[in-house]
Amino acid sequence: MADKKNRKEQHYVAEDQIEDLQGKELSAEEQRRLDEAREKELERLEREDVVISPARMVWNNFKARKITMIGAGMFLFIILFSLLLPVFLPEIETDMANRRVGPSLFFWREGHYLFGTDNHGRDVFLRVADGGFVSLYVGAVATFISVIIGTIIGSVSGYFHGIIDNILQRFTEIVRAFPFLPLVITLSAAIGADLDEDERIFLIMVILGVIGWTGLARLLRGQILSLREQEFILAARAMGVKNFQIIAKHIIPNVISLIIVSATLQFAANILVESGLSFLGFGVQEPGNSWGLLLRQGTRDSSVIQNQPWLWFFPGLFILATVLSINFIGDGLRDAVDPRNVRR
Amino acid sequence: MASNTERNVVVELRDLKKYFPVKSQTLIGGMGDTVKANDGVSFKIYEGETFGLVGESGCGKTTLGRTIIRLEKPTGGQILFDGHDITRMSNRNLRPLRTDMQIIFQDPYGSLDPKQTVGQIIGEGLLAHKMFKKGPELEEYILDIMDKCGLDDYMIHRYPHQFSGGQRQRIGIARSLALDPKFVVCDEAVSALDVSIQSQILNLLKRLKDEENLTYLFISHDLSVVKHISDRIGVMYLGEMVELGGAEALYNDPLHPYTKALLSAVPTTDVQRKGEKIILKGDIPSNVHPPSGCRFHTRCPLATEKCRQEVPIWEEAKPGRFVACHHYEQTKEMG
Ligand SMILES: Nc1ncnc2c1ncn2[C@@H]1O[C@H](COP(=O)(O)OP(=O)(O)OP(=O)(O)O)[C@@H](O)[C@H]1O
Ligand SMILES: [Mg+2]
Repeated sequence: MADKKNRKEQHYVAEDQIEDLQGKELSAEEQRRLDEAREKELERLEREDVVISPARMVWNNFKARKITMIGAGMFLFIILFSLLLPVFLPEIETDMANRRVGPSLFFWREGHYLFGTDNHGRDVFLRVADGGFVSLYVGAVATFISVIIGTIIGSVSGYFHGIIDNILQRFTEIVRAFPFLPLVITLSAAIGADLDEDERIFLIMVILGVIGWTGLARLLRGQILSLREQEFILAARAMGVKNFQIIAKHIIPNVISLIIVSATLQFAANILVESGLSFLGFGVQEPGNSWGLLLRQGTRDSSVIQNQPWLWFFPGLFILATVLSINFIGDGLRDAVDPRNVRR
Repeated sequence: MASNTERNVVVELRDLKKYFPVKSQTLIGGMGDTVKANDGVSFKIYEGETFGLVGESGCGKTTLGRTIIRLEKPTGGQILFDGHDITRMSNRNLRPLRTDMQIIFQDPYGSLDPKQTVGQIIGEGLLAHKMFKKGPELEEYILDIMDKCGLDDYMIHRYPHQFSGGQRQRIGIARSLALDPKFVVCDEAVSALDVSIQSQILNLLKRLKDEENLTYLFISHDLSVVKHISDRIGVMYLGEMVELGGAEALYNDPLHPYTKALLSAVPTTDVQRKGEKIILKGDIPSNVHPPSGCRFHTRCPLATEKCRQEVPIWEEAKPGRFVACHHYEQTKEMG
């Protein structure tokens, strides 16, 4: 029994040593100590029969970084705030008696509002929660569209290189070079007026999705090009495993983390673009609602900017917090799946 | 090796050629040059033997090994495997034959899928050929193979990153043996390992060969390793085979000047094999535009005008000893 405890302690020592020494410039002596500690770790894993799946390893890496966990916490909060809260909160109503009320910490009292009210007397707290739903929704659907397109084009390009690859790459370059902002502004001006609110939102999601896949496609193509030359793929071919099985069993599991990371970062970018468009008046418009639109209404003229800062401060804060937290998560994921950061 | 004629031939190559197109820089890609990775290789591999293949880096050993088991499509010539002409065989027709030909790779890291457990890696081929269904029987069989390859039972559910290089190489060996093949290409199977581990793996390969009646094509740039394990040895230079013979004979009495130069570079404790190290002049020539005549003439100490112009024929100089050299009689006095 005592022996077991002793071993346990030993392993923590070894693990700590590895952490202390990893990634630094090492002297020969330190290098030897690091190797020794690694060896001890391996031995421990052997003894205790620990099976660490790659997914588990990624998770261990992921949660080891504080900033990533902060990002994850923030994002969880925003999700609860924008997706769940609006279900339980009252409808947004105009209230001409309570227009342009400043924010108050005593929001449960009559006539007090946590985020204040706008110039129609609508509760800004409710509007930010509700607008967040639209912003997240638009960003998510657009990301979904671009991930699907990017994955298909990138994988086909990488796996069946040659002529198909050449054509797809040229196509990708054209889409990349496309002047997207002018297109949306023109489209919005040309047909925007004839569309109702849902159709406008749909249009924005589709356009964002259809232009956003090129980065992922290029990334995937490169990854798969090098994957297909890997010896474990050759081994599978030598064993007579069918192409389809090779893609399903070897290629996809090895690029799925890449897709997830890319999707996360794309998601943040899409939220920003949607906000930007709505802010400029080419995105979501009244009676719709989104963070970008709220920002636009909160910065209508300089008197509003100066006298009712809560109108732009809260939507701005939420955009900032959302994009930041998603990027933290994305960066953390990217580091976590990087095989160079092996943390057992 | 007089008994060769009566033994079964597992692999026969006739004038095998494998050219790779040189990547062109233009968008459309014109009809460019080709890398002549293998350029007219002919030999037989007999059942139960270990055929060693040596040569400098880039001479086309890996390409030859992969083309033989049709991981690459040959450009010309013929490959007979176990009596079947597989030169142009479709993947679909090849599939049933694939269980008989396997390969072990050099890189113990790149050759195992990091996302699969040892059990999945070893079982993949068995499932692909429907030799087993998922279940206890398959697991039993996998454990049996693992045991043969010196892997403990508890390792079956682990992932490759939890193993050392030598253990990983054992996993790769277990994977190729699971299909119960006749013929295995070992492409630099021990080159990435520490010397002490090398001999363990070599001994494992030898033992398995006897137990499972295997035939090996053993590829390595390391002559001492090849000599240790091979019955016969082929020497390649710039896509061609320049000499072939029994391991002992070739080692003691090299016929081709290139073989002699290679051998002289092997560190040896053997007192009988005295002699200076023969340093070859110049670099390895391009395999896109190989030298005229004998390809070795640019670096050969024995080269004459004839070597520059005439391609030497591949002849049986002594029983069981093949060589392609105009002046092989003089090799003895060389150095
Ligand atoms: N897929 C390919 N495309 C183009 N050229 C290739 C390809 N594979 C090999 N080659 C070329 O063919 C030649 C022979 O390569 P190969 O890998 O067979 O040599 P090798 O003898 O195995 O060398 P090494 O000892 O370094 O493994 C080299 O010049 C290489 O650049
Ligand atoms: Mg090679």
